[in-house]
Amino acid sequence: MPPRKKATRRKKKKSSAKKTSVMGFLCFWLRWPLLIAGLAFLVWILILDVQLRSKFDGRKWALPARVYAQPLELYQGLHLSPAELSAELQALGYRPVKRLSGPGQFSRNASLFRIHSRGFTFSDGEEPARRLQLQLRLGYVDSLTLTNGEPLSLLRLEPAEIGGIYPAHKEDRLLVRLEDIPPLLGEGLIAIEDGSFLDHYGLSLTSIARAAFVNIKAGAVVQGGSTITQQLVKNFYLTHERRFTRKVKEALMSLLLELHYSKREILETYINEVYLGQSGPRAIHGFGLASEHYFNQAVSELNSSQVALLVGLVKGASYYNPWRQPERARLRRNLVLQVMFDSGLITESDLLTSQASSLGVVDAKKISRRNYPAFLDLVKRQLLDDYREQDLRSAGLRIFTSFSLRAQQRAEQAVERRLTKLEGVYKLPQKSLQAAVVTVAVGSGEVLALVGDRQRGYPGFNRALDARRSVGSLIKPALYLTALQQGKTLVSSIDDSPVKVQGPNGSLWQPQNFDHASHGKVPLFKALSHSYNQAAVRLGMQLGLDEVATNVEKLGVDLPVRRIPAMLLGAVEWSPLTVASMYHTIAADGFYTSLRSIRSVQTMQGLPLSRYPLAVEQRFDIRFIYQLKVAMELVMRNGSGRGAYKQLPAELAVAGKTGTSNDQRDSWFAGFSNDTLAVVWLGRDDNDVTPLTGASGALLLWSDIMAADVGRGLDPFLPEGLSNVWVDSNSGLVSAENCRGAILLPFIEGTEPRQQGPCEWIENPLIHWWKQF
Amino acid sequence: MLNRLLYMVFISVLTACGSQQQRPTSVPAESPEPIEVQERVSGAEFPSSAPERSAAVVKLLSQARLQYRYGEYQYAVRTAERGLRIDRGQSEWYLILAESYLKLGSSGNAQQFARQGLRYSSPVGQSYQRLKQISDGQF
Repeated sequence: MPPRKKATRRKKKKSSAKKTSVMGFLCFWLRWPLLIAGLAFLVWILILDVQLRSKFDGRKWALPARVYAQPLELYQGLHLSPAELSAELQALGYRPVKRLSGPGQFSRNASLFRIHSRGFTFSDGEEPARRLQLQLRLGYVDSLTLTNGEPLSLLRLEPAEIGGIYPAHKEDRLLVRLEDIPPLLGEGLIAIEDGSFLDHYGLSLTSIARAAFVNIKAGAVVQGGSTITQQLVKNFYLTHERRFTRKVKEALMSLLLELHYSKREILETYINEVYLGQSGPRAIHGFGLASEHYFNQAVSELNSSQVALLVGLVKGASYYNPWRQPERARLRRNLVLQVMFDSGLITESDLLTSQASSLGVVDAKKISRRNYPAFLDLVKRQLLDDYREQDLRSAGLRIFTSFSLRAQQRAEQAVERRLTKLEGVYKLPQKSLQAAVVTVAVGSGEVLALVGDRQRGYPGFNRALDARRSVGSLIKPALYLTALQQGKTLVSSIDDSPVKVQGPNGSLWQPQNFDHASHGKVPLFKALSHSYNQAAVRLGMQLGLDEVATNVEKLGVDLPVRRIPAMLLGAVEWSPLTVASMYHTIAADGFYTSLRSIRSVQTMQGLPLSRYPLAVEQRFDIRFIYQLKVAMELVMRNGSGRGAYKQLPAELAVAGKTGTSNDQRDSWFAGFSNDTLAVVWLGRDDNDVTPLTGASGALLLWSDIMAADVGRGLDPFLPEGLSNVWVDSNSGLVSAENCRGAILLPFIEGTEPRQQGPCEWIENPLIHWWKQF
Repeated sequence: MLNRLLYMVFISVLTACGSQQQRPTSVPAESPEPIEVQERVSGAEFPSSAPERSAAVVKLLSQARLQYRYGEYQYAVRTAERGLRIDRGQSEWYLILAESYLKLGSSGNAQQFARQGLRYSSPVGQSYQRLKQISDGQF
């Protein structure tokens, strides 16, 4: 070996030894820090792993309680117009088609409907999906059969969802399983978002390369670089900050996720997690809810065009909002359809048909009309008696309510039209009047509809529950009920001459009648039907304030009633719901029922949690209540409520009472048929005076609502222990059917008038005919 | 079975009609408060009475009785409540509720429903005697 070479080698050896010694030195000194860092990294991964698995294995999301309306029960004899049925079906997301081809569709030919129902598992049994035919006539269901002609006695459609009780972060989602979604949705999503999803382990360099290729080919960014797993990790576990450490965390967690869970589980979670839009403060997450939000359809019923639109929204739900940016959304959808076609997921004809089709999203105006904050407010308050707010906001409970879409729509429409009309007639500033309506099913005590503001869907002050206003003469039925209990009859003479009542401080209170006239001695029924104040105060003072107030409370008023003379004329402040509670006891023949808005509560999986059964309590003898109802029926026929018959059919027997507070600040009407009770309040929020009395304001709105819901008139059958007697309507003496001014009134057996009055014979065929009712 | 049910409903209605008096209402009018007169909606048609709901009622009655017979009292209650929403004037619903609540050990509820049922039952009707017994506490 030449000496130069040797020298070089020696030098190299030296250098190598030097390096080794440097490395050794470094290793010696850094071995502990490196080991500690390695251990720390390992611990960090373990912590990430625990976090990742505990969230993925546990309850993944805080799910809002979902609130459902009552199901529409279809049967022969149901009062239902074609427009109402169409509205109900559309609220349920049924699509109008020419020919039925699957569940969730209906066809209409004038008043003949063919429906393919979806079926639903109710708490008391399953209602299978069926094809049925429904013929409506004069506002009623005339016939109900299966499409093969087999008669059908009864069928329930599935209940419509009317809202939810959302978590604080307002995220909403409707969980779907992978097997419930159309295969095109899963495959399309993979094709657009992550072509190699089935092959990679959470991270994919080829994905990035493929995305770049697809984007260049499409001439736009149609595919992202992150895998579906990475996107899920980012959305589900991490924040949206753009930091290097977050990217590292995202990569590690993606690998861990893929290590622990199947592709199926990851895709299903992604489908339920992804953000797809906004509805006011509510964030729409997942394809299940997005399908309902944009198309009002179950995700399983989506067609290629709809699937493509939703898949396209993943890239930017706000940017491609189909309502605000329809053209942008259309282009995006068509691009997705093209990718689906290129991937062999749809045929060419499907591509061309879908690309040419409209976006098909529901009318944005109709979405805002599907908000019923006043009713949901009541539901939530009643639920809070039994459930923690935290559970309502996160446990995904299913709340089945008594809400009637038809009753609500009738009430909302009536409020909108009548208030505008009244403001026009009385030359009031526009939108100066406000209204509240409560509609209740008589007997069951179920609240059917609630209007808390004249503006539909307004989530602010709920007047139906929270506006406490002076009720005026609405309180008088309690007073006359007390009189009947204390031995008076409907023809007992009541003195309506001027009356003075001394207050505790020596002041004198002198109430007056609305017409500022005195009417002398009047029969009791007339004092009520014409709402005479002087008669009411005199009678009330004779009966005793405590007796009257106690009856008010027994009727269902859950607020303390002050025992003061002004109470007799309604100087008490109640909400419309409180008034409804009182009048429902009268309508239900003296049986008190706590007004309910909830029928049952189920877990997210459909297991029963609680049921709210009907419970009744007899608080009054039916004989007194029946007489009171007759007097209130006369309010409608001949007294302050008679204007209702300008709209109601004459043969419909209804009962009710007007109420007007001092200076006409509040206009009230409460009344009922056999099936429905409605309470209406009109007034101003600033409590200023209005030109409206109970008869010229609230009664008209009440009549609008009841005319749209012609149910059955009051039950005409006499309870045991009562007998009907023809009496003279002025003197109260015994009369006869063909005597002028004769009226048939019920009396408790033994209290009938005995003295025969004079009779002016008349035979008017029309009156004679009317008397048959 | 169905024929028998229909027959029973028919007989109940007939006996109720035959035994109870109806009340007309018409007296001379006067009113202390101004009333706005409004034209009735033109073209609106009102049938003189709502069509019968008997098919739905018969089906649910039959279902509720069956549930009761098989000891499914909670379900019988639910079905009766459902029936009440369709036609609350059938005394049979109240009888089913009363009998079911008795079986469920809630005699208070049973008595209340029995009392309510008497309102819709004729003294010569089939359900009257039993409703009366329950309402009087004779279980």
